Amino acid sequence: MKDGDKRLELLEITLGRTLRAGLISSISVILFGIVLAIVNHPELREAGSLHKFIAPGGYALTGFHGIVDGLKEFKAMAWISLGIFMLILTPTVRVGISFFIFWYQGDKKFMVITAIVFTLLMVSLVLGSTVL
Amino acid sequence: MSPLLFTVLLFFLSAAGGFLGSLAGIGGGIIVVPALTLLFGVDIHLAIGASIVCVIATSTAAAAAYVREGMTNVRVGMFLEMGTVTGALIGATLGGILNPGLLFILFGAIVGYSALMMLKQVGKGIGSSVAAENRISKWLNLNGSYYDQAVGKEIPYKVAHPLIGGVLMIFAGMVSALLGIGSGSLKVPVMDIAMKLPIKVSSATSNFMIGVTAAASSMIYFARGDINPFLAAPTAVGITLGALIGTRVMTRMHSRSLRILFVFLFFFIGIQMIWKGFGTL
Repeated sequence: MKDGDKRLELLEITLGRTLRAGLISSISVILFGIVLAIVNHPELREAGSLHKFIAPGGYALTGFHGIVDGLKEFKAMAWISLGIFMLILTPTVRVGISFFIFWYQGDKKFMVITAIVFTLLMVSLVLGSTVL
Repeated sequence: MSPLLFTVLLFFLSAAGGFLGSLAGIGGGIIVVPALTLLFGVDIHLAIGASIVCVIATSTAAAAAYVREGMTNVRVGMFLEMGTVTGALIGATLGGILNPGLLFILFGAIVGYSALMMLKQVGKGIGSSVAAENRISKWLNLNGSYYDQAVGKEIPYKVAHPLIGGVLMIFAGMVSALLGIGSGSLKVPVMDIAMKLPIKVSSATSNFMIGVTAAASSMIYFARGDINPFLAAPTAVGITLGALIGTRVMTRMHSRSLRILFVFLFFFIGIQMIWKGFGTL
């Protein structure tokens, strides 16, 4: 079983690294967005305007075009949204990478299982954007 | 209160929640939703959206650590993810339609249930029964082993009832997506009791699955506009930093008195949420 242990190690170490890299990069992007918000948005310091920010449907950037345009203009909310999106993608990337590791190891059954999970994740992405 | 002050308060509150939560072995969501709705009066749909992002962050941090220690059964996790992700799709779709009052009541019930589960764990020691050989587990090569630090050796185990586990995980995924929580308190008993996995493996594998489950529902919440960056950013960053510091301070030593404190806190929160739910129905 020594060979089997080694195979598992490859999977576990790669997945551990993927998760950590995804977490660190997405949290950094969110932090950058927060700094932009503090520097560029003096209205954040106005007392009494809080309700505008936490009202339902009031302050969410949706649609990828809006986010991409906002990134170019260094809009705080666009950068924060990008970081959040990267965070959401981290587990998805983890599933994708596992598929290739199972492929490399010739484990057909688990290639099917990871492919099903990945497809379901893609369905949720499509379902989410078409509900709008 | 100015929006900036609100952000700073939210950050420190989330950091404290992430820190104490990681010491007690509790994920972020079950703290974030009550804090946002009860303390700050945020709409529950937005609170759930912000919370599900925090759940990805804390479970990713924990999963990265556990998976490297070899405590996670990656194969069992991926097999069960088929169930949790299916449940998450159903839950997140339902979440947008359900009445806020009903969400408060459901949340209160789940928090109360989690408190009961924690109380049970504080009372009893870790007892694991040995499973018989299961044909599907053998076919999918799900059986595994883990290194027990207390005994100082590698302990092999067999996995029972994988199909029953998978079906029960649909329900766990649904609750997770609907309420913006990791629902580890539902996943761990399924693996621990029904599938007869050792308790340490169950909780590590639960953390591993939570990220993927939360990612599925987050995409729907994100596209629907229920993830408000103004709320999600300080909570996600705060809770991640808090949890990282927590795991540095005390590696996997879940303090008993802290858990008892959380049991009382959870009962209190549960009653508050249900009370508010009936008020807004």
